[in-house]
Amino acid sequence: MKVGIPKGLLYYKYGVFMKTFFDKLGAEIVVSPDTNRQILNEGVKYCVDEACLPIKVFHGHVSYLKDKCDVIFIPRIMSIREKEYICPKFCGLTEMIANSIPDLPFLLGEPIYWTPKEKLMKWALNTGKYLTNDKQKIKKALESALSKQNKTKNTIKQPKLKYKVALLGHPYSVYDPFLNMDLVKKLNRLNVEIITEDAVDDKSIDFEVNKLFKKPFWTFARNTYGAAVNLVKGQKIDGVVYISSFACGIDSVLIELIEHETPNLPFIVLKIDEHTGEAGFNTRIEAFADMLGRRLNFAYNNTAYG
Amino acid sequence: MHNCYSLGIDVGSVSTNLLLADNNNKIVEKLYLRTSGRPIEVLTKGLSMLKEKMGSKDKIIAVGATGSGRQLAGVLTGADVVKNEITAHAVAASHLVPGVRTILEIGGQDSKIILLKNGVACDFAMNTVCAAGTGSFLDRQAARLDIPIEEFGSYALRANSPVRIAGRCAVFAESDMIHKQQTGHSIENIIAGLCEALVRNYMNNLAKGKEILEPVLFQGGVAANIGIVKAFEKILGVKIIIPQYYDVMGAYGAALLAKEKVESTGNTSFAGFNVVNRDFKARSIECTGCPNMCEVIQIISNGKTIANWGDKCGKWGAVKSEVG
Amino acid sequence: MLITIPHMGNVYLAAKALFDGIDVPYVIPEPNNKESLQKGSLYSPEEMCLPFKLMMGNYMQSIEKGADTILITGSCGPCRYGEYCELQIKILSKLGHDLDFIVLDAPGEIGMDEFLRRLGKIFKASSKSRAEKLLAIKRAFRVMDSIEKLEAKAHYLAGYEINKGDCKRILRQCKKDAFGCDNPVEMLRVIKEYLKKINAVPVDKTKNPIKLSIIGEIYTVIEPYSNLNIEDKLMDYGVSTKRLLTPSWWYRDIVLKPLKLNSPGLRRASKEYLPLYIGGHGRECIGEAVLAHKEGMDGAIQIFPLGCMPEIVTKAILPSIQRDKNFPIMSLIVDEMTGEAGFMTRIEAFLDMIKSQKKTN
Repeated sequence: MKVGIPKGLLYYKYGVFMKTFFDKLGAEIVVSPDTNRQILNEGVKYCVDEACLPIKVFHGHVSYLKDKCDVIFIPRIMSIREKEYICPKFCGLTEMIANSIPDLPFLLGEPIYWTPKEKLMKWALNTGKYLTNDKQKIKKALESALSKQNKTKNTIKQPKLKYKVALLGHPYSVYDPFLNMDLVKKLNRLNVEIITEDAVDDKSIDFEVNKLFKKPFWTFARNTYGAAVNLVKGQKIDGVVYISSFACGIDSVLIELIEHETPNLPFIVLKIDEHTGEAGFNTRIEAFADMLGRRLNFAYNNTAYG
Repeated sequence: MHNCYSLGIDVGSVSTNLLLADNNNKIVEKLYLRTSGRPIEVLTKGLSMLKEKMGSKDKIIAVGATGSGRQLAGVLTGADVVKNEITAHAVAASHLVPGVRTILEIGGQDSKIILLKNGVACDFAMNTVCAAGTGSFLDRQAARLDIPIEEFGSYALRANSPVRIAGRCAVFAESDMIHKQQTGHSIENIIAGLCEALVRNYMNNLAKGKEILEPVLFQGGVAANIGIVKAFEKILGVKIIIPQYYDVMGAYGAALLAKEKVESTGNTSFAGFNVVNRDFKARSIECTGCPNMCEVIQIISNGKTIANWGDKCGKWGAVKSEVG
Repeated sequence: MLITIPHMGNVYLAAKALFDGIDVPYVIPEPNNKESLQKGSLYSPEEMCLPFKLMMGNYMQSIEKGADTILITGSCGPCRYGEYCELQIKILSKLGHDLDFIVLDAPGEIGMDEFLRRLGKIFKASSKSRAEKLLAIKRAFRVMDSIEKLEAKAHYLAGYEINKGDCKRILRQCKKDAFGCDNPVEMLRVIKEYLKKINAVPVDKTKNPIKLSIIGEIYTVIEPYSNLNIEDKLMDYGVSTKRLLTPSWWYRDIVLKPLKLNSPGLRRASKEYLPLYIGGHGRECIGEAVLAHKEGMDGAIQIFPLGCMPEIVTKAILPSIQRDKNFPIMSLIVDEMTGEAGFMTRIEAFLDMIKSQKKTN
């Protein structure tokens, strides 16, 4: 059986898991290509207009796959950590896709709870049953998918450069170069290296998050907030770049919360959607890089330890 | 011999259209005036222009008003029907092309799609994003590029590779266009790109998930732009029909509806052409009767308030347009 | 302590009854208006949803009158509403307002002890006996229930009334008079009187008005200012409307949810199109659309604030319901930029469409 895996949303975090699981079940896997103009256009055509860019792009990936496989896997990830969610659009992802794109093959869109293990197993059995009757095989596939995933660390290789900024945002905005218009390379060219939230360990994140009045119930918010505050306090960065999709509900809260913790750092929010013009985007990045330079020069000339 | 006419009025934010339709629903006179932010002035001017064109014994037997200024026009003229522009457009289209299934409409400040079945609207949508998808934006860009808007379409047809113009709103689209110009793209390709961007935005914002069935009518002022028509045909893969009265369809629908209404009620409530000699003023006041602070629009004629609307509680005696 | 609450439909009446009943000083902010929206928008993140902005406006107006304690309800995701308090506390403190936020999250989420501790902050300020306090709570709930009953009747009967405007007038007058009462017993009596009046409104049962369900995001369906008074407007047009989501539905839902006893009909109805809870009231919206069709309504209007995450999911699904069941559904999105003209045009055209379809059927 051919299983289609769309290269969008949390593929950028759990792609290894997805591919290993279906591979171990003996499926032939078709992964959609890196996001491109064609995929974006397809996504914008089908997806409900009010949705954010990553969701639209995901629709595009599904549309690309629809006549190239027997079933399409929809990572409807409800929750990664206990009592936390991703976002309502992830919870309803399967229905959004099913009601927006015509002539789809069967969708493997069961809800996924990453923890506790029994719930993840339930998903594996519910999904695996379409590929095999052998429950042991499914359990094994899940185990090896998990262990491979746990050995994988998301990083973006970076050279050592003059300035260092925290690149914040949801994983698919940070890791999909088409979506973020090659942001990382552009920053590098301007002598700016980046560090992502993946560089901050869970404990340090918890340490910062626990100081909030209310624990954020969105995993991305928890990760990004905790990591951002940690990086700022550690004085390891010269500024913050936040890459955010237009109309992202989570970011409308999160960015404000982070800004409260970074009063003295250059902070730029880059908003993206299918209408974003690259010229204006580049201008903002360049101006930000200039600001980093001028600010450091200023600091060197005006402080005792400069 | 005297003629009987139905008067249709469409007061939009950009243009005010007036027309006279004869007994056979044929349009004998039409006016297309710029509203220029002075709807009352333009409306009375339009009425006196029509009056001059009519024979001294000719009569107005029905009046219909539509458009965003329909309440105002309704009060001033004593219209028989005050109707929203979506319904008016649908009525006009299915009168001219019975069996029409899809209406694409792009006007000065807004755009709509209407789907019909058996001559009756069954689904519709109106733009929710900014004017980047409408006529005013095209006008503005034509002016900026120093090309008469009438020739905009022919420029688009000469393009060999339309550029992609990005922009959620008119301001961003414009800066992207300027950028494209600076990087050396030809005017033809930029204009074609602009037309395609407009149609693409229209399709994504309004037509999403809607089944576009033929016959497809394209109406509203922008239908005169052959570049946009071609972009629609390219993207939809269907033939686009431009109805004869494409630029005054709202007013035409209002006239038809008014005539229909008068046929059942017997006579018109038209206030007569001498309204043009009366002095009208509109003003808005903030009602202080309760903390709702409603903005009440008042129409004042010869020192007397003749109509109010905009209040929530009804104490100002709201004038409403009708449904049905 | 001077306590205040943000607006949310008729909640202010119940809150007033409660505070009067336990004799705790309070400020009810002015009804939502231009000023609260302007003030609220000024201090809110731009892409934040409309309810947040209006609530901020309410706080600002209450603070001007000396309020120092804010009572709000919470929720634990995944919709933004649950994160409101965190951000509101931060923004207000940055503006120099040191306020006490009492956040009533569902006891199931924060534990009964914590819930009672938070609730206790309000009651500590009261000198009334325990029995009197309990009675006040009971009365506040009764106020909520009876005003909703009146409102539902008025909205529905508006399609049948013989003298145009009766229902709207009674509803308005009742709210005004109820708000003028200075104790809960009196308020309950007033509402009861108006209930009698609404039951006596002359109606023509042979009328066949357009019947619509109002569905969507809970704040924007119950707070009239946020939806440009859509229910009032529909009453003016002689349309009968029904709406399931109300504050009392909401608190019953919270109480019954852990037992899975909440709205079983809705859950069943939504199953085909959206079998899971996705946050906010997305699943309810789908269930209501299906039920509205089953109950013989002529159509449904979905209302939600721009950017509302759960309702974006439902907006993607509703066209399927519309197609499958040949049931007109219109989505209206509201934010601080929503213009009245376009809003009215859509509503009028929608009603025209339904009316002409009714004729052809």
